[in-house]
Amino acid sequence: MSVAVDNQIEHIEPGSVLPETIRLLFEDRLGEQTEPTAFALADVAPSGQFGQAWVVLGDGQLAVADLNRADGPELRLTPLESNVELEILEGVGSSRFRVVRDGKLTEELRFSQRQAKRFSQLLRRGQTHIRGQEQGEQAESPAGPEQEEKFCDKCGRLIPDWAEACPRCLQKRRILWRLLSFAWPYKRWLIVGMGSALAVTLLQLVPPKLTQFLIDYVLQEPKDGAPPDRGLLWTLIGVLGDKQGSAHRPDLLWPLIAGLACIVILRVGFQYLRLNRLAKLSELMTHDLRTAAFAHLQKLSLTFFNKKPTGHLISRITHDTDRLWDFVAFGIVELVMSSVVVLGIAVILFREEPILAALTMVPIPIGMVLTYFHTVAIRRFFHRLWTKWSRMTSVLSDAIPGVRVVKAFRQEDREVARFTGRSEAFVGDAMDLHAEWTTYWPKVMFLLNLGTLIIWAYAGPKIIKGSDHLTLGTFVMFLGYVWMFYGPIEQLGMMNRMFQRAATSAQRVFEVLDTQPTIYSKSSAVAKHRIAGSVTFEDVCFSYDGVKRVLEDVSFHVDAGQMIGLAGPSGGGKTTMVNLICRFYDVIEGRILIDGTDVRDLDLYELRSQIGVVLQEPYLFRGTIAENIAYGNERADMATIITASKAANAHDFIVGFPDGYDTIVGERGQTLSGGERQRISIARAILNNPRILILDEATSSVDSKTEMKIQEAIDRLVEGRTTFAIAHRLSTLRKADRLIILDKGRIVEQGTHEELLGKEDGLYAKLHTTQAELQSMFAV
Amino acid sequence: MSDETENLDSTRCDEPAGLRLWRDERGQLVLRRNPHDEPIAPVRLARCFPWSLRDRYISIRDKDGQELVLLESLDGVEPETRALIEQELDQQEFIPRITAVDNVDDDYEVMAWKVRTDRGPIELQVKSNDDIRQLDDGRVIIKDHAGGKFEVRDLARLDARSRRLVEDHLG
Repeated sequence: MSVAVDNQIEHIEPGSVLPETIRLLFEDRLGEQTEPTAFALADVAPSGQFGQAWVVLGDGQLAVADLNRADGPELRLTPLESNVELEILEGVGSSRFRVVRDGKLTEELRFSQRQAKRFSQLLRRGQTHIRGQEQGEQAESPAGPEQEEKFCDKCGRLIPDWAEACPRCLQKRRILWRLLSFAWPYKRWLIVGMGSALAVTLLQLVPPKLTQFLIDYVLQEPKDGAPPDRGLLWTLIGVLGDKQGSAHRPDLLWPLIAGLACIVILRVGFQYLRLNRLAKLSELMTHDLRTAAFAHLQKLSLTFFNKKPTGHLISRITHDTDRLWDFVAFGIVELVMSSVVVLGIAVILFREEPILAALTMVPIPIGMVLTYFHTVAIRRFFHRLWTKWSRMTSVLSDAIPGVRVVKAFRQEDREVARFTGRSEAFVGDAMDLHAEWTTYWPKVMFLLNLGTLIIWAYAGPKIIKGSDHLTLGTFVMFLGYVWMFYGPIEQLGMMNRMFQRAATSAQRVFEVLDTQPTIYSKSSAVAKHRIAGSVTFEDVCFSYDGVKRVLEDVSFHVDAGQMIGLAGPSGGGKTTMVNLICRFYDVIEGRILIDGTDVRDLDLYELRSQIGVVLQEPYLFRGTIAENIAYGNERADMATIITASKAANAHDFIVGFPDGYDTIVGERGQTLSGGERQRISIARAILNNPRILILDEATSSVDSKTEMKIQEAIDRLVEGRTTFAIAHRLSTLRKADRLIILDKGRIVEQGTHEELLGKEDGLYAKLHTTQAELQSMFAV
Repeated sequence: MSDETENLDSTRCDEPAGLRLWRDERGQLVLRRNPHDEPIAPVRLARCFPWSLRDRYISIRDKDGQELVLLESLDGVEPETRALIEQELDQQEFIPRITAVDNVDDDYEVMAWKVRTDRGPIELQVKSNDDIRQLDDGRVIIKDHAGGKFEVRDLARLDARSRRLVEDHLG
């Protein structure tokens, strides 16, 4: 049997689609009803070259089709029975998938990093199947969403993780229309602004035309026969339309000069209106977008924030909306105006002198092409410069804060050399940039001058000869219009890029607006104003990525007011468990009950208002200490704040600061030590008076005296509340009513401190012994 | 050796004499440090300096990542074992070396790089310029969307166009 290697569609991510030939091969052997349940592509041949071998799972069989062999692929089958072991041997950039049958290696396939996800999925499916065989049960496919990188259906390219749809294939026009819909509330300004822009453009076209009339009919005597005598108004209208039909009119000199003056004044006025209205309009519009995006962002679930890095989100709200401001305020208008200018001039010129007009317009397309390549090159150079710049500044941000280390190790010269080298690299690229733009401008100027020369060369002889059509006035008019191409050449050359960038920015902002929170209050949600605080987990399973289970079948019940200590090795699932109680995420299987009600049926806002959290690294916002303590309870009066601080053992050190409760902390809150920050966050929790309290490693990284103070504060806080305390220092958990020990997502032990210590080979007892040993070591 | 490091005992690497490594039926690597030692399986290999000193300091570890043997170099290792070590290191590594860049499509954030490598031609999806890094020794490492690495050993030896494309996108 021989099957040709599939020619993969260009761009389609290799391994994401099972080729038809392989599917047929598979069905040939196993019957047509067999649907492959999983497949993966081993994309590295044993030789180390890129290759193709497929692994397909289905109907209890593992099939390997090796396309690397010259004689065509054969299908090697392995029945997935209990004598089969599957494993993945991870390497650096390439891993191996192995099948061991009866203790003997039967298959070994190499794959690169990009196939790793599909292989681990296949491995899991296969292993589940083998386990199912052992237990004599039907294996079921694991539930839960499989999160994978998305590829575009149309172009096959990877979709960036911030986007839902492929930005390449998305209809730009629709996005821009949607953007303009945000301008609609300000439609009066929009109309005034756009109208003024149009007026400015049209008025700009008038003066050269008037000049033509001035020269041909006012300053000089017209060459043609005597045209009919018309009134001033008619003449002016005639000027714009019809050049025949005017006589020598020196009397019109002053009215025409006055007309020119009017045009200048009007243009200034409209220019002002246009800039002013559109700048303000787009400022308001982007403000709307910005606040809408931020407000929506606050509503979104944590899953969304996990997927998108903070920096990207910040840049969407600031950078992207700013770019849109620029586009709406100036970009669109400039484009429209440039097009109107070029078209208007073209109409006027072609009516006068088609040949000369065509010659005059020649520089425009050339100029646009020049500009296009210029912007592309400039962008490249700017990117290079930016990279070099940040490489240079990174030396500064290394060496200046680390100056003590630099001096201690006598590395001053080395740092200087490093900085000099990177600065030199920057200068080198800057030279290229300057070379680019300094040649661009002269090139454009040359083109425009060329336009002038063309007009001279063509019109000069004709005027000397005294041609009928080409008058001195027309000649001067042409010269006047040539210089107006300057702006449009620049604008139209940049058009493509500008649209693209604006559309991308708009998409990024709309993306935030369009994301639906996965966690929200149901419309039928119960608002419990006061919960008692009993918490029940029933067979709870959870996974952040839909693949790796972080919690598995966790069940327990806590009565209201009890204190539960959570312990176990890191990565055991402690923090995940408290995240679920706060309903930052929803469980995948099972349910969590508070006072007997599923948390998903409770009003989210009410629920969170009754849960207090003291985190490992307390986050303080920029503001005064008082504001931070009252965060979440803004109506609290000063007396309550003091009471809460006293309960948190924070009052004394706060008053010790020169600015007392008005001390500014936050962002650069270096003024506070870790222990102080923790006590402020405890005060914040006390003030909120929650029914359920979560303490995450609240006493780590402080000296023992501070720890005692914090412990005291915590004891007061815990009083009468259901508490979940996570701590690495097991001694702090002694007071807990019960301890839950988590390991690898499962509850391994439960009981009081004494009970658990009693179990000699228990995990808790072991952890406790190790810590006691460590402490005695340091206590010396 | 400079004076400053004199007071440090130089790390004692294990002697290669008597060291044997072989593959069992399951395809696992088995280590025996001395003829009279018990064999240990499975073991794994790692380079200590995969970028800067590839062929020196090879670590042999158990399945939990505990080091069993540290070889300063492969010289003196019994030939069959040495061949196996080299083969195994080669099998677990996959960092194609880029020999030419045919095209970079960077109109949108995710870039598509069409490149030729010593392992064959391939198209990479690179998420951002941050994934294209130049090391201090001048080598360029490109990371694709899945975290796979691709290396440009020597920018100067690429053709002018390829070189420009790489330099333009350095993050």
